[in-house]
Amino acid sequence: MTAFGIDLGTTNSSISWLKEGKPTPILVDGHPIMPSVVMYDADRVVVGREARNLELQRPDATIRSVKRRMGQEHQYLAAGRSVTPEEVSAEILRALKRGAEEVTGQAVNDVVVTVPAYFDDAQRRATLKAGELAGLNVLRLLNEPTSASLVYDQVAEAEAAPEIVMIYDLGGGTFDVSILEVVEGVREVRATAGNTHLGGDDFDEALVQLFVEELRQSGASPKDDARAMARLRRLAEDAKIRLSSDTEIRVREEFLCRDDRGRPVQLDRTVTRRELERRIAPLLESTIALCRRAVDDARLSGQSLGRICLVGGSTRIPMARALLTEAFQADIHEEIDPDLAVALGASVQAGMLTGIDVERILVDVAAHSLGVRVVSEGDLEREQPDTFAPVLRRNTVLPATRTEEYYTMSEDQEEVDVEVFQGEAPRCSQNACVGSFTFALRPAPADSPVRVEFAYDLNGVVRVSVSQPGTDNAKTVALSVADAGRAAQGSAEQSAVERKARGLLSKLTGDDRAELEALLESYVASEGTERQVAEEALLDFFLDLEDLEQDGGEP
Amino acid sequence: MNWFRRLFTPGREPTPALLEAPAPVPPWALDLLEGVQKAGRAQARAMARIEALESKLEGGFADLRSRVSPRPAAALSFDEVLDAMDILDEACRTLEGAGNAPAAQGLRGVVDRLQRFLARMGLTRVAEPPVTLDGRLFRAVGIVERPDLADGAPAQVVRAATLAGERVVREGEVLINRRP
Repeated sequence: MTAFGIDLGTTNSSISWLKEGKPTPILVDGHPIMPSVVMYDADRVVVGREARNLELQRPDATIRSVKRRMGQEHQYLAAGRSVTPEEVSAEILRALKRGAEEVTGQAVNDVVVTVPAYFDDAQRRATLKAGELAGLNVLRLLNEPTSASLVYDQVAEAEAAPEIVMIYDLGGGTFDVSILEVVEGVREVRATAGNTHLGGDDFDEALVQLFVEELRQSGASPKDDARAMARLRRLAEDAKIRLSSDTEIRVREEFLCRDDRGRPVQLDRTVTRRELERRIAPLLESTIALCRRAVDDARLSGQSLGRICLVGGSTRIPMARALLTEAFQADIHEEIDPDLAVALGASVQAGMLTGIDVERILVDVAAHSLGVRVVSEGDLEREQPDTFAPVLRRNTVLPATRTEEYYTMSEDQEEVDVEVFQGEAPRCSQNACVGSFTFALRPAPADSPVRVEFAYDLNGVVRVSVSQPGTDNAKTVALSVADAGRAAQGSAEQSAVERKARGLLSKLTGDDRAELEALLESYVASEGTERQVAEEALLDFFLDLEDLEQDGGEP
Repeated sequence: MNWFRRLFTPGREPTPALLEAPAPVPPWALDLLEGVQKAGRAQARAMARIEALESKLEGGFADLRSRVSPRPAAALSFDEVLDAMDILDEACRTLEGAGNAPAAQGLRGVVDRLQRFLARMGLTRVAEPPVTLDGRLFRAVGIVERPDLADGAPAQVVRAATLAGERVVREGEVLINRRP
């Protein structure tokens, strides 16, 4: 017997199942998420991507965001037909069922369907009715935050003691926050809050406005040009995604529109993460205010927030996480693909209800935050700054690359000490030092940016790259993070450097392999200072190899 | 004061004043330390290379054989090429609109060449507005007014769709006509 989990979302929906005991998303029409859009044509019903694509052409026949109408006495008129919200939702469920059957080759009958925690009885009954109309046996309606917390529990062992968990769900068009109390596997939603009209689309719009303002300075009026606006919207979404991992990107769109004298206008500029953050800060801060309200409403009375689990694609924006860290002293989890967490959790629940053993989800994550020593306002009156600025945070899925920007202290500062620490304390002195090096700076005014990039691989080796934007001045050093932690624990296990070297051996041939074998042999045979030198030689070798790969060569 | 400074969002704060640090380590000492470390590493790597050469001279030709074996071609992505072709189409339209037909024609020739290259790679680019909108191939992303076209008809392609056989590998975007 196989059971499936369905996230019936406002903007997008998805379906998952337990494949050999592991929660697994199912690709419907080749995509893990399907737009919750239904179009009624004369002789057929179109659902998902195709319906979304035709929406602008056939707005009278297309229905989206039906979830907002569930439980209401509402009749949609679409292409001459009268349909209820339940019937529209049933079409979405039918499309997911059909898609999943094609992919898995199994009949989709028993399902768990998720609903918002704030759904009332009428809304829940309407969802059950939709399932029935779609020919599904709805085993249970599961609250969305409960579903997300279930799947996160498959990653980390749940606390035995009562635990308070926040589910922060920032999607494409809606924001929900829920406070859950988990006691011996029983989950109770203590409070919810949200904004039904806030999400990733608003962040895209902020960037579109930035580009429009820029183009106006060139004498263009892109808002009057449908083609230019369509290109700008695509560009904005792409830029937003790239700015989640880069601090600065270049956007370029040639022949975008024409100016008031008929000449072609190009958009060519850099966009910094700071610029995006300045524009979306009020929106993100409003989500934090809602989180505080939910925490207050939950009346925790002495209990404190244990974990925050991130759900929804827009939680990939670094500022969302930074604001949560600042506002709540709780461990933040983002190990699960935020677009799929709710559906995956529903498949876990479906497995539990049908007696299928659910396996743990194994995800490699950073066990500790990694960051650098910086000066902040808290360091006034100190001889040496002690502020720890995380660059790559705890629980980040590995391998990962994260970039942050910091600033010089004085005019023509000659160099900067790059001191890398790991830990969760806000002070460097309370965290473990991983390594340090000096980076010589080119002359520049005070407050000039210096970029720090951490590339952390599965073997616990972090490649720290420091650069001065606008110049070719850059330096990269490899540090063994796992070994720093291991040394502190006094363990005698195989080191991260050795593990990485052995893992690479099978992939290399010829000179590269011979060189690595020799370096590894020398590393294993040496002790003390000699071993340190041998380790650095190995780390240099890894760097050279990665450079070669980036240049297009094969390892 | 050789430190990073953190910038707080959304605005910048003035640089905080630190107490004067104790006498810094003389620059020559740091240079010396870095030099010693580099020399150590270079020596370790040189030794490793010598040992590798020795092993090869001793008859380890297997490595040599594997070294000359052909490497698999890097996976190619055509996204950049397809983006560039969309922009070339846009440039052609701009030039035609500005009355520079010969230049537009020249650019069209370039687009045709690239299109032939893609065809050899098994890709079909659909850059002309289809007669009827196929939602599997194109997404309607905007509206224009074209009195010569039927209401709702695809009027202009913003982004060409691309097929590999019957499979859509890149969804296109079109503007549709809306009669006032």
